[in-house]
Amino acid sequence: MAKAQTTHREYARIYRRVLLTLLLLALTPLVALGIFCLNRINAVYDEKINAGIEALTNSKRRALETFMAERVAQIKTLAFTHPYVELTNHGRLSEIFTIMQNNSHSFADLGIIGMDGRHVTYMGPYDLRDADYSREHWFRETLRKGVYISDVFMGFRQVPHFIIAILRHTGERSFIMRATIDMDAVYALLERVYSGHNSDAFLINGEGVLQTAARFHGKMMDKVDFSIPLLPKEQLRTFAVQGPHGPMLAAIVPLEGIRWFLVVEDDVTESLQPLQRLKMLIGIMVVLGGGLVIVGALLCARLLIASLAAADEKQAHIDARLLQSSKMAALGKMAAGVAHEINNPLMLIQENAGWIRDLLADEEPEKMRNFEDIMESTAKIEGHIVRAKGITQRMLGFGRRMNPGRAEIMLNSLVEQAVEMLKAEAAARSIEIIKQFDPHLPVILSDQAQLEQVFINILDNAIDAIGREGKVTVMTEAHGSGARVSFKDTGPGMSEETRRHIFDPFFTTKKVGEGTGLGLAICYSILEKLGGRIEVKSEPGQGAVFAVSLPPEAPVDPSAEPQESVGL
Amino acid sequence: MRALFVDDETEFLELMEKRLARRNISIATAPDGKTALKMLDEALNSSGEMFQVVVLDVRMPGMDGLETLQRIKEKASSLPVLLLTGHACMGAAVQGMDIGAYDYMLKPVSISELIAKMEEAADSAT
Repeated sequence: MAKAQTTHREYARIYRRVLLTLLLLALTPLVALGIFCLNRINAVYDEKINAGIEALTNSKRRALETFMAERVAQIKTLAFTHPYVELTNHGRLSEIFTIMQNNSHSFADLGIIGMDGRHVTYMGPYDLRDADYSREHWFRETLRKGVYISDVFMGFRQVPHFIIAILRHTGERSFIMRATIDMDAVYALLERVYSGHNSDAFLINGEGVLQTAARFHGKMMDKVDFSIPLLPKEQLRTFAVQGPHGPMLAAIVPLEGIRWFLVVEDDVTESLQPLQRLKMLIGIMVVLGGGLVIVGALLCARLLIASLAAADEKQAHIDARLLQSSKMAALGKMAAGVAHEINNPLMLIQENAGWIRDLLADEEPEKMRNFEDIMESTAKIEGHIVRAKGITQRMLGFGRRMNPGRAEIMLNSLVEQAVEMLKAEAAARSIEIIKQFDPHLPVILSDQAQLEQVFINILDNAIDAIGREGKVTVMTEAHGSGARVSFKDTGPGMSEETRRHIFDPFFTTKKVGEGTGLGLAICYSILEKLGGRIEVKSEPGQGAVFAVSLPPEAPVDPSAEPQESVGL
Repeated sequence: MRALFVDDETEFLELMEKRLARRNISIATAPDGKTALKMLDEALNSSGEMFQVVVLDVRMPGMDGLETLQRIKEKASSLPVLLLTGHACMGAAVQGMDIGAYDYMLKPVSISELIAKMEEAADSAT
């Protein structure tokens, strides 16, 4: 029992090891492949998305820069190519403004401002002729720099706008030409075919004040909490921002000539959807693959353990048979040695008994007081010698190796013969012998005399085991390419201990003097020689079944004694 | 009938001598093969009476039964030899038959069977 538990634990340990190894071997590359795939996809998509937003931002930046440069150049050209007189002429300025507006609707108004900060002439929708700009920031900056592009501001008209101002000195006179840029023109430039519904592009100045409205950050001129990176010219930076519907990718780039930055925001979740799907697909495949691997590994490990257990069991059977064989061989040798040594004194006892008989023949019986007793004792001695002789001969026969005879045997009739021999004995003890013979039994090639001895022996044992009243069922059947003969009795059965030693020489459960303990040992060794085997199944109180399996042909052992010396 | 018994068991020889004498068979005995061959030589040199049958034990120390049988057959091929053997030496007995033994008998053997077999052997030679 303890051994079985140890074996079970051992199997469990091997099972765990095999399972672990299989899982490790199969899952590691699978998981590694999954991780690698996801990483690669992430990298490729990042690259692609970054490249997309970078290209978009750069094209937008160039458009804006070109727009600004063109507007500045336009105003500059106007200021520097027309004489002051012409520009301050209201009719002429109106003419010029109309031509400009016809070409591009970029300007909201146009005005000439004197050094006192007041309009000399003004063309536009607002009434700004009395406005004094001398204290305005843009006015002072224009005087200082000559060219100025303002941030978006409210100004006198209380509408967000920005202006381009150019200072011109014409000898005796200086003036500023100031134009307001139409915000619609800027919005038109920022508009684009967005890649997603949540994409946006807007302008922001260095202080974080929005120059155009931003969808997720606020209205124009709102100050937003937007960290403006310090970037060299044309240096673009991408970064992640939290949008209203999840993470977004943003790119920021400074614009040349203005202190503004262009910000483009793109809804990554939308662009990332195919990636997410692919990732999920890979995830599912990895999980499914993992599941398959686990199931496979479980099945594999189980199969392996089952095969191992089967192989071990087979080996254990072979070992048990080998052990029994070697035990039989050793005991057989010993039995033969003992028998031979006993035979000589037995012979001398017999000869001496014979001599006594010879001598008694000379006597006159009536003159000898104990003549009858002496004769009787002599006869008994001789009788016991015959019995001892029988035992030694069986012992010798048990130890001997010889080639079995090979004759074609109809097993059914051979078993029938054995039954016939013991029928009377069985009937005397009210034991019924039931025959269940398979009529299609193959003819086997084996030793008839030895097989008959085996059958008689087993049947005799069955009758002895029952004692009185019972049944012995003798069954023949085809077994593999050979045949099997079973003897089932209704006797008391046997314990496991008895069953284990039942074929050992000199093992007997019979009373002293009733059995030599050699019968089944001889059967075992005969069947071994005949290439067959004998097995027993029994439980205490359940009777016993002795099954003799025979191959279609008995093997030939070239090292054994010749076949003529048959007989035990 | 005169027979030669060869056996290393001298008690057996003594008993045989006594028991056969009672049945009017005088025998010569030899405790080993060597002595047996010497006695056979003497008989052949007509200094003694010739044996009609030899009863030979197979298992003997020194020169064993089979070798002795071979030597006897070399000297007197027509002399019948009966082998006495234990069960363990059955193979040797069968071998002995090949060499030229008349027959073999298993020990222990009953006296009447032995005499019958000896007479049968002696008759076969004449």
